[in-house]
Amino acid sequence: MDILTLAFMQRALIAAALAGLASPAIGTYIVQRRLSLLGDGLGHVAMAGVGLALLTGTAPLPAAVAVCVAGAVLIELLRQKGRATGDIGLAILFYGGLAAGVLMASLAGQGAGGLQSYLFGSLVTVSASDLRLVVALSAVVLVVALGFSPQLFAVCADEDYARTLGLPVRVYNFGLVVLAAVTVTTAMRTVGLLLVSALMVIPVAAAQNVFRGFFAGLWGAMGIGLATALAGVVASYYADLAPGATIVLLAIAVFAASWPVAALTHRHVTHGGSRT
Amino acid sequence: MPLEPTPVLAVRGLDVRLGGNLILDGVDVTLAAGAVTALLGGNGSGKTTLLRAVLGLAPHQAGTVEWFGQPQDKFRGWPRLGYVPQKAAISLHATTLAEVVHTGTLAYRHGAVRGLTTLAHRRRDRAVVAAALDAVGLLDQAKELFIHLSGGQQQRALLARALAQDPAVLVLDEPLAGVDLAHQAAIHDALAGFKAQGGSVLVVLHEVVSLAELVDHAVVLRGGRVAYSGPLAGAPDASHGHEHEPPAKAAGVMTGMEPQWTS
Ligand SMILES: Nc1ncnc2c1ncn2[C@@H]1O[C@H](COP(=O)(O)OP(=O)(O)O)[C@@H](O)[C@H]1O
Ligand SMILES: [Mg+2]
Repeated sequence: MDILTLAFMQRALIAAALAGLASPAIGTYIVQRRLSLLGDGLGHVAMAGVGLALLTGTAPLPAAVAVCVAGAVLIELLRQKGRATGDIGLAILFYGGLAAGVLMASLAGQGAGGLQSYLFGSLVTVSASDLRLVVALSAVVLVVALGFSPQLFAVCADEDYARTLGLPVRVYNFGLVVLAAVTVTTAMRTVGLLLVSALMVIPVAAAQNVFRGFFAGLWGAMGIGLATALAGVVASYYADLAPGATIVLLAIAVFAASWPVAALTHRHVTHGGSRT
Repeated sequence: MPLEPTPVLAVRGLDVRLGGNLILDGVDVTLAAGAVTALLGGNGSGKTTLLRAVLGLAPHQAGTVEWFGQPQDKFRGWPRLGYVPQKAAISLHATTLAEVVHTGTLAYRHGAVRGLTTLAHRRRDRAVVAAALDAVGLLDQAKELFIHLSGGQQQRALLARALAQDPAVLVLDEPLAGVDLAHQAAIHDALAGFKAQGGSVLVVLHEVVSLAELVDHAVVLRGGRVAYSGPLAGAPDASHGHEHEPPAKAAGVMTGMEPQWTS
């Protein structure tokens, strides 16, 4: 168990555990809103923050958080406008962010190799100050995602009805994308910006195959996320694998295993549903 | 001169334009306290749009909407208005019936964002949700997935969600659509009980029959204008406006089947 005595591995395990809990928690709402690819777009935008930090010689994580949150607000503004141009706007934002990040990084003398740890995660890069920020931000994400779950659920389930209840629907919509942005950036170090979206979506899909109902699915997805994130970090340490890719493939394996369960539950539910 | 009591809802001269078309044209509707006002009219006559406009979900370009004597933009009593939309717009595929109904309990939490959920909330809400489901005869299905319910069951579930708000007013858009006769009676009883406790109801109806004795006032819309306003007995035969209705729906009601939503 030398793995637990190494300081960098302790930090990597804590960061991975938090990413494994927070990503599916936010992902549950994102998936239900049919915005499954939002996390992916936010990951692209966050690269602009990383590039900016490399260029100016500041810490990458805070810069990535700031830029990604700003991008998230823009995305939600575009979505609420509901224009036909919204799609194009999103594409420009996502790929513009990624391209700008890579460009700034190359200006700073970082080649593609230097960016790899941000794009795909790396066990050795979580610094002590990174970890403090990750813990604080993850705590905020989890408290809001769980403590305000009925409100967030109401807005995701039926926005019009939530509005008739007098809920500040706009506030919750913005809150959700900002939390998604924070989650994406805090998972950057362990899973990587290009793969974090998988951790927001795949455990959620797997949990919905196994558990009945939204809140059971929420807790189940967090459990699957936590287990695959920790197992992925441990496996990548011993087998010298890329942690992000290992975590994501483990999550996909869990999803595949959940299929037979879904088939059984579906049959059962259809019978129950036909009663009047 | 006796003072007129303030109506629950007063709509005057309402114009609503959607997609460049004038959908509602100078509509006047009043809902008196403790009364049931029925909105009738053919498909596309603007009934749903009127409900959405009075609830602030659709913007209006002219006229006024007053709830309990207050202009719509000043009104703060939204949580006491229980809205049952016409078509289940629930976008959650993995949601149980109890979870859908639970949303209604947010109505009686305080503060703009309704606060963090505590164990006390959970305990109180569970009883409210069970009572609301029981009122519409769906308590046994509480743990079923919402999307696996029939159209009529979904409609009753949305009524339960509104009842879970402990509302003062119900705003119902075709609450009987796809509901079989036995459960139409259940909805009648639930609404009769609600009215007996002083509740007011604005209801869009297709099939008036099973709720007729509860209706105090009828308004018939035609092409976005009020074609009739008065007692239900004097209303022009609403069935004339239903020529676009697929016959399957009427047949479903006759045989007690609950057709699925088609759109
Ligand atoms: N968002 C919208 N944009 C444009 N037209 C609309 C919109 N919603 C409804 N309409 C039109 O308004 C008319 C009235 O619709 P609606 O209020 O749903 O009627 P009803 O409920 O009486 O069947 C219909 O002709 C419908 O096509
Ligand atoms: Mg309608």
